[in-house]
Amino acid sequence: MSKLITEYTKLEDLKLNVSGFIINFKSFSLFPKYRFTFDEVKKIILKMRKEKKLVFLNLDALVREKDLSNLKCLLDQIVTLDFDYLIFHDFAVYTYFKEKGLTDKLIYDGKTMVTSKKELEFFASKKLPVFLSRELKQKELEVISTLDNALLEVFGYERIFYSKRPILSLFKEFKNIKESLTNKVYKLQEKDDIYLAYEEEGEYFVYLEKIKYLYKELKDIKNNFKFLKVGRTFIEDIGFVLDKYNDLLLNENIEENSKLLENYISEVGL
Amino acid sequence: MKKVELLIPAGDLERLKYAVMYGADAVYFGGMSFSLRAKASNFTLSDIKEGVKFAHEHNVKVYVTLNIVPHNEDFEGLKEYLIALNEIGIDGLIISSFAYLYFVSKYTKNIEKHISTQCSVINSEAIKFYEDLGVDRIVLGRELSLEELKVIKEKTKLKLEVFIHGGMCAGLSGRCILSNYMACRDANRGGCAHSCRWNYALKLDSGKEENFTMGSKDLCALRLIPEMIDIGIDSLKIEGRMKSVYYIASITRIYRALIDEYLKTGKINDFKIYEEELRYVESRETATGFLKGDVKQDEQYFDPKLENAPKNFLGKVLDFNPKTKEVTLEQRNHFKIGDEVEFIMPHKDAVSFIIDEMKNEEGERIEVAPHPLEVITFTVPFMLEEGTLMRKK
Repeated sequence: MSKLITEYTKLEDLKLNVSGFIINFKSFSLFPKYRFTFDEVKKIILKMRKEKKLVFLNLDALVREKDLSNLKCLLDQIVTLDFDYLIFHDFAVYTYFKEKGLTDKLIYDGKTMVTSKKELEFFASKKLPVFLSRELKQKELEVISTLDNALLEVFGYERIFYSKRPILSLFKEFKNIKESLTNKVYKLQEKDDIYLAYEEEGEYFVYLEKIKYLYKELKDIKNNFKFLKVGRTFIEDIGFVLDKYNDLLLNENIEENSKLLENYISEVGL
Repeated sequence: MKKVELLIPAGDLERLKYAVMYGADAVYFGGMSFSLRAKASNFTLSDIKEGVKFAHEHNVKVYVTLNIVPHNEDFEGLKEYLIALNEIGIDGLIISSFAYLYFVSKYTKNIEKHISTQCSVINSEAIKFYEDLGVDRIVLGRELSLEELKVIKEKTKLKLEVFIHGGMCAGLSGRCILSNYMACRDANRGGCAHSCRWNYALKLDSGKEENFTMGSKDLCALRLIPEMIDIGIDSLKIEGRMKSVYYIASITRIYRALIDEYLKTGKINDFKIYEEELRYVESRETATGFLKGDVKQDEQYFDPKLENAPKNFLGKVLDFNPKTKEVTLEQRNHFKIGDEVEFIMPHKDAVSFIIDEMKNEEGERIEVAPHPLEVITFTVPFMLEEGTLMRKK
């Protein structure tokens, strides 16, 4: 049976009904706002273990050569921690863990790069669980998820652009705009469509305006995934949503919950 | 000094031949499937065969792009395609997908495996992962400085390929799916609609809306080529499979001359000569991206008014009679009697000339050549080479 995971943001989260939490580091994690120093992560893990939660650490940034030594320092510290999985995007992390003989702790999150069953088979040959790309259609998911190493983000704002250019800061400079354009969600309008722009720590992202989710569609395939992630980028209160997904795992109230989720998504917004 | 490869894009067979004639060391293009730049003409197997024959006769290598991020249906026919490419004898495949890499390893022999820039490889530790998979070359991500390139080169035995000129992705390659949602075109399967360059309204807290775009200026690393050669970069790559014959010929000619000057003399006497030549073909503002360090605001394309397509390309020489010195030319932009024009050739300096008379296909004297693709004849007082193009002086 699949297990639910979500990002950790604060102590109260530990009461949430999930199997595990993803903890984001100050460096090399791309989750906005709630990212933690190594010492903070160490303390959070202790608390998570008391609650019998699985611990996922997240390093999903792509890493430039100039930042490699900082990454290695962090990895040297990370391997001393008590964690279950490390989510990575850059293969520098894999190289490090391979040298330590710890690749069984890794999960690959290639964002947009894993879109076929054969790609998943490659990672299975390396014994790596993998996050699937979120743009996949239901029929594709049905085929791909027949392997047992897939993870899927089933709820949350979908990121559609990732840049190492601090585009909002550069624009602020270009236009002499007074307000700070970082660490805050801005709306981008293109004709009738709205997208969300966000910059933090010199990296720039674009998200879809509306939360994207799969619910009823997962009814028959939900247990094909190793973990289902309920993403909470820009979302503070996730309890209601997690309740609905827990119901889904138990095959309860699916039709009713589906409508409730639809209403929730049409009401929440940034 | 170590020789460096000049790698030129080819949207079709004609452009491949011009790239080869004008001095490419290697060319790259996509087949009809499995390749990005779906809107470039792209090559049938028969084109590939002819292109490889032509390129190899001129000691030029041929790399084929296999660089989409595939979905389940994108494996149909892949095995047969790879077997065919293997028989044709291409030199390398540019790959983004691990599954495709597996197929290439299984169904081809003696074809180099190049990891595409779509994989955004930007450090030496990630390269080790690809090295273990039997890869021969990494096309590095475009988010690296010269200093970083130097460090990476020192740490790896794999060949490194670096973009030096052309369009840039503002986002990390492969991680941008703007087109998928904004234009229903899958960017990672050849459908990029360049949505990062579109015009947006950015809504500020003050309530004000600013015209905004995310696109970056095109890359031009012309002045940094000597440093790249010194670092030991193996291949210098030009972007632009969608570009015209004129662009391909001109850009190849410019970089060929610059690289040769540096390899021969150990210095570049005057960069301005090359930059002046670039102005004939470059329609967009250019910058150096991350190569000089982190990007500044003038690297971004915040002012779209700067775009100005040059109309310098006047025609393509279809035939030249060395006895009568009669030129048969296919028109590409308006010109007339009295215009001073210039002929660029693969192996000679440009030669200028004032058009004093010309005829149309019916042999009638004409004053003006206003129609694209019309065939014009006139005589010149000098010899022209195969592959000559005519431009405005």
